[in-house]
Amino acid sequence: MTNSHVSTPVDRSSERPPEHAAISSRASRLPRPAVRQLVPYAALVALLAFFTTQSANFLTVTNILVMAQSASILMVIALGATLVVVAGSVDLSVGAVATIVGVLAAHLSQQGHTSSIWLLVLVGALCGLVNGILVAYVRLPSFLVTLGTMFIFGGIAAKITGGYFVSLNYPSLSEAVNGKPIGQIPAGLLWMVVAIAVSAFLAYRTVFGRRVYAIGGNEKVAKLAGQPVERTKVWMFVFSGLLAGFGGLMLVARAGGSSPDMGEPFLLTAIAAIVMGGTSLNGGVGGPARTIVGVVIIEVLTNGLIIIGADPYYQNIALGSVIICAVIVTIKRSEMAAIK
Amino acid sequence: MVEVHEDLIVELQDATQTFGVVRALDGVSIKVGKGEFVGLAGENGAGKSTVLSVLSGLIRPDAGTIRLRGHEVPQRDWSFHKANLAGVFRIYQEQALLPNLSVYENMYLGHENLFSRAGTINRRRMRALARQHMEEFVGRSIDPGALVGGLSWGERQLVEIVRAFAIASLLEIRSPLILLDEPTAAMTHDDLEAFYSLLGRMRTQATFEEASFLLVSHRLDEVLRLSDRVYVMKDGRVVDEVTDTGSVDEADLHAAMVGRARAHNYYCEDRQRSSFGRESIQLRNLSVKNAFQDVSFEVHEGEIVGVGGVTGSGKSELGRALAGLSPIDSGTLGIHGHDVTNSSVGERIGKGIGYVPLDRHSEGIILYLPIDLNMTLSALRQSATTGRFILSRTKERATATQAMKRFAIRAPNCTVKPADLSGGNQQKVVMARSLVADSTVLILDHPTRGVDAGAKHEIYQLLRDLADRGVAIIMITDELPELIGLSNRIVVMRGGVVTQETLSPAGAKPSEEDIVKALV
Ligand SMILES: Nc1ncnc2c1ncn2[C@@H]1O[C@H](COP(=O)(O)OP(=O)(O)OP(=O)(O)O)[C@@H](O)[C@H]1O
Ligand SMILES: [Mg+2]
Repeated sequence: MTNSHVSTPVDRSSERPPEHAAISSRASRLPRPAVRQLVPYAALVALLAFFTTQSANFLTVTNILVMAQSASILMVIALGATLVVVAGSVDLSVGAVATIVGVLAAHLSQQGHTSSIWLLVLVGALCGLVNGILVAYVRLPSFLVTLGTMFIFGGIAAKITGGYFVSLNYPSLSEAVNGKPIGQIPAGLLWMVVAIAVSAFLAYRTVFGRRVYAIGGNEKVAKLAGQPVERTKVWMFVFSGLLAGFGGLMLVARAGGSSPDMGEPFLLTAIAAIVMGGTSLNGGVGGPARTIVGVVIIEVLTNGLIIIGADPYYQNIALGSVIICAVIVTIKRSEMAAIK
Repeated sequence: MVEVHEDLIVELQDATQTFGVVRALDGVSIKVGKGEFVGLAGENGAGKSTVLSVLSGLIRPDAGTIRLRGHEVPQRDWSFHKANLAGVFRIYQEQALLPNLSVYENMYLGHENLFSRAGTINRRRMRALARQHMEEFVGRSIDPGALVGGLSWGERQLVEIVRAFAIASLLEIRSPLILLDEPTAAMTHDDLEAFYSLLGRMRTQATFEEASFLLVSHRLDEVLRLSDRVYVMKDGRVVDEVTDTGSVDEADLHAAMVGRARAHNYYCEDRQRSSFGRESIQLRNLSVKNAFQDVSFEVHEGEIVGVGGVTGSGKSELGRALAGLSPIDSGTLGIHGHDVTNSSVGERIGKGIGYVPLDRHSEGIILYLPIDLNMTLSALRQSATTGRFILSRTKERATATQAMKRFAIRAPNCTVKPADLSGGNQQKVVMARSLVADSTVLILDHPTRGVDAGAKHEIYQLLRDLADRGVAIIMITDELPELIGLSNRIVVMRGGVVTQETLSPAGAKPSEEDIVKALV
């Protein structure tokens, strides 16, 4: 109720007017901020409860591990893009970056150059570097830059494979992604934990992360406080590209090969997970912890619907509805005005 | 049956409002009569802005009733827009015009439907009406077709007020209630006079004889001068009511507000230093195109130099250039003997410069970042990390808690967001940042803007402390008493050049007239 009256991006209700007063009366009926933050968790619990009552196979150790393995790629990609969103930018090229890395990996494996495949994550970082430089130093809006590079990277990937499925011939990568290194624990879960640890550490515990939050909160202030705004932006895009590239390696190993559009579905799902968790597209609030919740909700929903045998067509409908509902309650609209 | 007061425009009764643990209003009752000008004074965080929010429909109080022209306002149905339609207009502490629209479009924002026929807006009529109102109240100095983004702060404030009257007349409301929240906080001397005379004209205008005003301001002189009656608020309560504003002076009002007499030595003149250390900052023929030319002066360790000037004098631009926000076209700038003419903001901070900008909301503070993080932002490495890269929350909290104490920032703890603080407390957070960064040269653009009288005194004391520690201070301000009282030396700018440099030693301060003569 306190902040929900206003549609200006950065202010509290009592000091600034609503641009359109009509919003105020509607928005004030939404839950209080503290409550709002809990909504994603509540939604998750509700989904868990629902699927558990619907199927005895849902809440089992086996299925939980299946879900973890299946969510791992989305988690890695979404965590990378999270910092970019916290800074108030957006990275639309993550799907294409994953594709290009995956395609290159399959391609190299066919030619026998398997030793350099792990280094392909650096290609992801390089893609991020291109994005970062265009956004930070050429000062173009990240939306347009990454929209452009999304097509460019996608085009390069298609050119490399000629549009065909190329199978991956590199057992050690497949094993590292699909295997079970410790008991029943799938490798995906481990990679996911590493990605979570790294991005949470960066976001919450480092000077770099703090700068990202400051830039998202108010770039001018960050600048005036002497923070290297441009450099920070470049690094956060590099990080996003790096994780997207790693996601691409996981993806090609999971699918057993590459196709020119394999990363595509991850772009929008990653953004959905980020926003659903409660990171505002306006920047400054949210973070990796939020994204984890978002990814888990998406995975539970997808997996649960399959387990209870719902019509596959309903999956997207359900997912879309959950996204919209989650966003309605999580986002403080007062902080969201720029994304109309 | 409740009696209906025909002569009251608004009556707020027993309003209570809590934000989390903060009790912003605690049973506040306030009345404003038709045609009356009522002042609202109180310390930062006393709840003044919140009262205005309640009256203007932005906040529905937890308890209490609002009676408008004798009729109780249905709470469920009270919104900012409804309040507008009922003739209640709020002028904001931070302005609320859209910079990318023209003056006349801003004036009728949200009321375009009154100009539309069959879905198209009659812009010609809108513009003509706007022109008529502008000329009636402020003369021809502001073109209704001009973009608001190009106007000065003071001009924008005039537009905001005329806007209220324009809409009232459009809606045929004869007794509008205008809520003013620190309208003059950032006004320069010349704009101030224009503003007072505008208010005077509005009150004597036949069509709006019944217009009422509720004014919140930390300029106690203006509160007393303009108001028929003044409410004094403290900690969410009305603690005093001054009905006889003619016979009360600033010091009395201050005492009522703070609960003790105003410090005899408001600007701590007795602590003003007369001997200084080495040269800290040196400006040599500094020029920035279209802003100021050929500015030269230096400030020593422990010295406070005040910079005064009217709108367009280039004094704020000078501050921005010193901070590194706008490139210096010619001349040199030195700090502690290092040439920083072409250095970046970050490099200058590293050399010891701290800058408190004029526009708090867009440049000073990150509203949704907790205040401890706001405070350590300029000196992350020194105040918030162990090593170079890894943050230490304990260290950061300790730094922030200490700074909060020194500045007496009113907040439940150091992790609240500035968005939930009152205006004056936000200002203190910005000030605290340069303190945390251990700046040796402070450039302050209106450091006490929106800060209450008591807290101002605290800030003055703090500036004296800093001077004692050898910090060199450049203070850009429009408040003449502050400029004169605090400075060792006063630099007056006009039209982008320095027109006068006056010594202002303790005990032999120049008079306000002396300075005003150089200003205009
Ligand atoms: N949206 C909010 N959320 C939480 N606390 C708030 C909010 N708005 C106001 N407060 C708190 O309520 C109290 C009163 O605030 P208010 O803005 O009314 O003070 P004020 O008298 O206008 O002060 P100032 O002179 O500094 O502008 C303060 O303690 C403030 O921190
Ligand atoms: Mg206020």
